[in-house]
Amino acid sequence: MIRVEDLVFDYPGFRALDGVSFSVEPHSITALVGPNGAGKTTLLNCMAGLALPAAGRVLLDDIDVHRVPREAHAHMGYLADFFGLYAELTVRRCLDYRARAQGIASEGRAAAVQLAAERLGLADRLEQRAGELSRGLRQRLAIAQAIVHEPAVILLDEPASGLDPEARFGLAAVLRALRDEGMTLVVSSHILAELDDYSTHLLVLEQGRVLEHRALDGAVAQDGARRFELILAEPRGDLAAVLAAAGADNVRIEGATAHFDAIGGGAAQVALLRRLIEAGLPVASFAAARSDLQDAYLTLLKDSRVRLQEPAAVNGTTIRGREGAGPRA
Amino acid sequence: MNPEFLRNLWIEMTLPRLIAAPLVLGALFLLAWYVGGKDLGQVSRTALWLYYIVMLLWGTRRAAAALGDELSNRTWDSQRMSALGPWSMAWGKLFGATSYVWYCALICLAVMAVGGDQAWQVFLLHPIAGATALAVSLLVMLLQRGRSRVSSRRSSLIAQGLGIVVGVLLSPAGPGLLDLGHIEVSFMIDWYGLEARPNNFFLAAAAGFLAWALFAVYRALCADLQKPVWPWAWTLFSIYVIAFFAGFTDASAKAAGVDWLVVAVPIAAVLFYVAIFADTKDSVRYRWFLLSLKSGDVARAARLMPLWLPSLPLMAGLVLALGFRTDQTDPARIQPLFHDLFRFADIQILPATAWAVAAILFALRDLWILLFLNFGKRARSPDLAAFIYLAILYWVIPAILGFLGRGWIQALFLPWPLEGPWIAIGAPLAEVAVLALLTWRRWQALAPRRLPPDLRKAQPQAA
Repeated sequence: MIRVEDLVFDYPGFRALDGVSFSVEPHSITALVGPNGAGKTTLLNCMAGLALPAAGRVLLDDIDVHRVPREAHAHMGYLADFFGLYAELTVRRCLDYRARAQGIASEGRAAAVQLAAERLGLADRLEQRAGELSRGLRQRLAIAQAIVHEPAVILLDEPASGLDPEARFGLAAVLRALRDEGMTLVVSSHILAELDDYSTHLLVLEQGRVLEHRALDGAVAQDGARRFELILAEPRGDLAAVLAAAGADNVRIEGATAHFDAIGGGAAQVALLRRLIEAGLPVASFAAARSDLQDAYLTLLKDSRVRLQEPAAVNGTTIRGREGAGPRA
Repeated sequence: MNPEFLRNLWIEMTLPRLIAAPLVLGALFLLAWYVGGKDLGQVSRTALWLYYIVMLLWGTRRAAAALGDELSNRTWDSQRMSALGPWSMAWGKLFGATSYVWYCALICLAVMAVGGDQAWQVFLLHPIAGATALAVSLLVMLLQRGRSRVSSRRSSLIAQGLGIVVGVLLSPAGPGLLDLGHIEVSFMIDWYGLEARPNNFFLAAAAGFLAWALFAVYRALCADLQKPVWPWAWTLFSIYVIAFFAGFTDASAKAAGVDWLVVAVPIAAVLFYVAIFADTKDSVRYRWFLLSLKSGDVARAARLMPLWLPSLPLMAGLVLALGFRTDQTDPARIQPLFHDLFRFADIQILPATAWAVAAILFALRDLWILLFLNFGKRARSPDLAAFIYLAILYWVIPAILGFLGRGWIQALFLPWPLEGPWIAIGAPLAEVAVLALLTWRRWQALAPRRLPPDLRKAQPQAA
């Protein structure tokens, strides 16, 4: 879907991106995380074709974003961290303008506007001026503008910034819905608990380099394996043997709870559950397991900094004693 | 309809405003009619003044705001992400953001047409001058966008000021056509031997500069919208401007010793200084440009090429041509012009080639000064500081030295061949060398810091 190859971007005296390479899978939500100054915003700007890197390239399918940015933008939506709206225009006109600017033909424009408004829960506010909307609704309108042309990829920079808990919850639901409709999202955020709710992949940037890029537990990895969590009504001594017989791998059992890897999609998951029940296990819960994103992230950074022997702070959580942050990039 | 133009119409052309403009302007025209003794000519003159007040004071401000408002309201990135091309964006912004200004201005032009007696060529110059002023304002805003050190208010004021200057120069008042329109024109413009009536000539010339201004807005937007283009436009414009003004050196001027090079050299110099001041002097961009050249990535290097780079050889070539030509013929023939321009006392002893080389070295020195100041980490207004330093170097110090008596020290501040060619060239060469070294060191200090080599790189593919 998106392929980033050896991206380099400099600011005076400071390399913001240093040979960043990764691929984003289709229909995924990638959480882009990292400390302040790690290069998240710069990376999103480069991916959106808004900033020309010193070296490297960004491919959206086969489109080179920096060679034909207009063509790439027809398939891409972007919400900057500090975005603005045309406060004098109504929600309908904001979306209509955006649809026209993205080249949507007149016969399909009204439907596109209506669909974008409905997706973001703005259908009943179409005649309200953008300047009169609350912070959460403004955020929704900005996302609606970014998706009105049905882009294949959406890049969101700190979309939950400044939202109250209810609005954040609503935003997470919106992002999940967009992914379910086939879009691919890259979301930068400092609020890791929120990213944990909907992200399928984790991309950690540190000092302009990719520190980690992996599928989160519960998402299908390249070899098709997923991590599952099984909770029994009561502990069973034969649990490990039953799981092994059912094809589970990397089994870890703690009391009545087991974590294991299994290969296969939804049908295989159903079959696996049937086998476990047929084996007589008192299954209370069976679901894809999720790791704690914040713990994983902090551990990653801590490990990295131990190697570098350079203490720093991560989103307010001090690691090895220094409150430090580079320039925002 | 162009989406950007339509969006601006939605904001600008509201019903109350559409009703208010003719009412207010109509009241002013009625007042002028009464005060002027019920004379339609007085109303026409009022309409002329109102047109330029509306267009130059308000229109240039709106044109600058076409980009300034997007930046301050943080909607520009969203616009850059649209599928709108640079040309659609250019005319949508230029005529959309100023649509209400044009509405008022057209009312003034209509009144002018009814009550005035201007020739049609003079009449057409009004909208051309207005449109060029607006285009220049928007262009200057676009050129300043890359400078984070320039405040948006100051950017708007600079853009508005330059737009007003251009608007006045291209208006019929600029070449004095308003007065000519009322008298029998008895002279013709001689341009490369072609004879034309002043009205026709200035109309064609203004239309040419309007086309260039619109094209410049388009090209500036290409850069901002990341559309790759080859950097030929500035060179072509420079050649156009030089060729345009060089065309006025007619046979009688040549007989008086005014060669076309004498016209071309100052214009090329002005264009070089416009280029070095207008271009963003971003240390990172220079680094990328050199790295692109080194790696053979010509397309990327072309996108990053400094604006002044083609201007430097163009100016240097013309200056050297003038120097060589003067040496080979009679230096005294162009003495009067240079005496006025540079206060040369006696051009007879001037080895003109040395003067030419010194002039090029001073241009290089000035370029290094600008780059040196711009590469400073804490410089707040490096271009303004450079302008002040150059003013001191070229005017204040030579004036003081003039009182103290001229000597070899003059060669440190002006192309000064009177003390011999070696001093004339050696003094600016030493300045260029010192400033180049200082600038290089400052530029090197801005090189991106290398990251610790053991920072682990992840696999490029998710796993």
